[in-house]
Amino acid sequence: MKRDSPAPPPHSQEPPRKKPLAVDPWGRPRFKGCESIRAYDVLGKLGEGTFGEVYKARSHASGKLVALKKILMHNQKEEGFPITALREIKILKMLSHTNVIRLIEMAVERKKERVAAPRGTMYMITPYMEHDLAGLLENKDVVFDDPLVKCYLLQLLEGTKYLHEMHILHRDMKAANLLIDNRGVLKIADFGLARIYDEPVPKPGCGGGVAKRQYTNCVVTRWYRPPELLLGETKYTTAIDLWGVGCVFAEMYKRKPILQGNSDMDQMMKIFHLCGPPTVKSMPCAASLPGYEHIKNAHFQRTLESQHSRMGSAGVSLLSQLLLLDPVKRINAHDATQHEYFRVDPLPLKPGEVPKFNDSHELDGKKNRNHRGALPPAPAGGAVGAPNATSRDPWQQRRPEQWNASGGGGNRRPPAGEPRIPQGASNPAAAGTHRDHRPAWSKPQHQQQSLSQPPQPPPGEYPTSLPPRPPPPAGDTRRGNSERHDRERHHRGGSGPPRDARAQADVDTYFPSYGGPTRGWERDRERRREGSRDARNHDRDRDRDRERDRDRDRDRDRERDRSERGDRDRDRGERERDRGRERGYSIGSGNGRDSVGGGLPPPPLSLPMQQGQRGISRERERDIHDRNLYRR
Amino acid sequence: MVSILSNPLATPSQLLANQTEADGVPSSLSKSLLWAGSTLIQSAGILLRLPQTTIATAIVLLQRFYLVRSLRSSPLLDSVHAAVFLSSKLTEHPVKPRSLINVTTYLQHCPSPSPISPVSDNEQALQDPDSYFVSEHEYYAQRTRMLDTEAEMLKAFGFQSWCALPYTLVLNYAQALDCLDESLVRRAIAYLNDALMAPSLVFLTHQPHMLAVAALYLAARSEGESGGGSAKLPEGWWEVFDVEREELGFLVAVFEGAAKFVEEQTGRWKRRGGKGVPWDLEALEEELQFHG
Repeated sequence: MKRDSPAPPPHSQEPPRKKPLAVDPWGRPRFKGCESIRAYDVLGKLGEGTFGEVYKARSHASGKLVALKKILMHNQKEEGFPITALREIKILKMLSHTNVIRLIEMAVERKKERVAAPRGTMYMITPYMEHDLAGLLENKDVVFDDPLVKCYLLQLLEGTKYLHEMHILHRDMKAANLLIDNRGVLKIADFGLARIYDEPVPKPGCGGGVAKRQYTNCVVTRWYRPPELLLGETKYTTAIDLWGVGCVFAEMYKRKPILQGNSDMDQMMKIFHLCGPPTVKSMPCAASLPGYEHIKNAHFQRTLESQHSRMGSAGVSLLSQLLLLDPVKRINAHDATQHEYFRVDPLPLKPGEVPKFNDSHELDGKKNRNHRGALPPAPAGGAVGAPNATSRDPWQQRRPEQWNASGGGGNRRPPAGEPRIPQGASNPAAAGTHRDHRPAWSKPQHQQQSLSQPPQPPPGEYPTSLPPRPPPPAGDTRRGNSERHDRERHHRGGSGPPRDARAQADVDTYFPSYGGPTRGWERDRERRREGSRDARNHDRDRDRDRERDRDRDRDRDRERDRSERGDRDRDRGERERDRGRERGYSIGSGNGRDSVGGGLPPPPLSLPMQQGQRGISRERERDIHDRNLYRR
Repeated sequence: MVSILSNPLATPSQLLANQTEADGVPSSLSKSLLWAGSTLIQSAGILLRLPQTTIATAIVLLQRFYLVRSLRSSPLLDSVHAAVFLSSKLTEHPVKPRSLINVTTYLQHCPSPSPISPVSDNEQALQDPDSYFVSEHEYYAQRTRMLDTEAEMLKAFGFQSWCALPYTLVLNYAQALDCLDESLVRRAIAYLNDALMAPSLVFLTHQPHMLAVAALYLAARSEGESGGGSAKLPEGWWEVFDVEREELGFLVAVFEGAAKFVEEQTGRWKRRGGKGVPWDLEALEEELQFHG
């Protein structure tokens, strides 16, 4: 009997149906599961990572801004719904804490036109967060003084403590995964590597406790990876997260990751140069770990105190307890929150007292990106998207109300492109304007219109029409190169974070890479270079992406010190693609320094299958498409 | 926010608006099919060496799924596959699609004590491995359907994939009542496994702590009857665990009725001779026509 001719059930009023049961006779869906993507107004693309694309959207129901993270199913043919995403969703649904990102819900997009893809596209919906810590740290206008560092660190520790109390190991603690909103609240995000651990919750005064079972060793982005993991430990504890917290803590003072090893070996060397050699006393477990052979003959001198004297004695004391080689003795999150550091002057700010930062430039970078994603293929005038100076005009012409925010007198809103400035700190003129922290596109229309004049400089501090920007750091030759473009864009009211500017110089489009300074091409080149000396990378195509992501931070900063080289001949498409991927947006994060799951070494189980070659090529295809669209 | 110890429960309106029955499948058949699916999951889980938590989660997922979906739109076998596959990922014991499909095919074609196999009397089948060989083509087709159904499931649940189970609570409560005893706990867990098969879907309508209390109650009672010399539980002990007498009474009735229901169903499908459980849509339509 044929399937499409079922006998109508006698007691049913409904007619026999060919494709029976997905819709009722009136054409409405019969089954209501999770929310449809149509409950959200997608405002534009925020970024792309290896893990997925992220969009900014507004909820119809609540009017609130959210971030939609698309779950990429690179390998759905074989593995179905990615187990990492399942874990992340499951864990996020278990958690409720101020300092942990909240999963609002899941939404599904059904592609009507494509019957062949009945599974639809799934999105994770989280609150929209304006900044991430890595992004803030790169903004030299934000002053990370003691009270602010303490404020963020305390929140980070509170969040970590909560996670550990909930029996969750985060396993990817790093600045890029810490999202910060405009109220100064820090939230831990990206649970793609997190898992539930079996051991008892760490007790006060007892460090991380002792591990009972083995976990996968390949976790945590290298720069934040604790020594025991580098030495090959698989029986690890919550202490691994605290090492990452320590790295972030020091990073807030140094404004850059403190331990930027370019290989696992180098990472170990850097750690031991900072913290001293692993001895029986300082790290009893070291001698029994497989990696110990390689380093036992090296000599190290501890430099932690001298390198980080700036944070004061209490700070150094906390840092040295967080960056303790011995995971058993390493301070746990609970004890760390009680540390003297938070009780000596200057006291930590309360989140509400944190200076408000203007709309982050990542956001504006994303904004441009949004246009790119959302624009129709061939806008009138045809100027959109040409990667030269003329192409900047469309932003100015098309959306004047979006970008010109200044000059409105008392309620002047800073230009969207203005870097974030602490209120009343470095830009007194902007102080009065911080009432309205909404990004440009969320302002009431009348306000936008009333301000539709060319952007004007903030009075006072800035003699030219340039928005404030920090001087280029010594040695950063690329930035100087892009200065003009950057300035121009600022002047036009476009967005332009300094690091975006740097990206521009290299990628010769004006679309800023809000994801970070030229990481794409650097990383890519790096990868190729690595590939040649490390055949492993070639062999393991499916791991390559992840591998590369994990190494991304390292690559970028290593490369930063090199002078600009002739990369212009590099395949543009590839650059674009990588740049796009760079923007990996960890739930609500604008930074993309590490995409969600980005810095991820292969997690256990089935993940390695997730990013097959096919997925990569598909992504490339799409990006090339984007680009073409844009260059028309 | 999900509590570790509680589940989202089926609402009365969901229970009333049974999609399968709305689609013209008789209630007895739909209950029977759900039971057959649960049995297949249980058997496959054992062959796949999955822990009972994974198996129970899969069964609960299947029951939840058919609370909001119809058997006539979502084929039973694919849902069984998807439920096991999903639950194996959720409980961190991932199975390979190939193993899963091999095992269910084997179970459908080999004699087994459970009636899910249509050829249980046919000794020939056992001799003939070809009957349960899954060709590459067939495997791909089944896998695609399984993964489609998996996505359907996640959407139907709103990604609420958490599933709290009463097994560990039984241990906990027995400990609290100072009657921790191997045979008692074994029996209680057996009652819980029975209840998974019950047509009343108590895992969807009651929180784990209630199920644990009911299982413990029954276990203690039958241990007492069989003279196992177990400790006498204090009067009204279930109230300590936040279970009312009426609820306990209902659950006890369901738990005890499960065995009878399973026997009935076994008989129902055994009598069918060569015809088995309608695992796919085609067979289901045939079955429906057959019954008019």
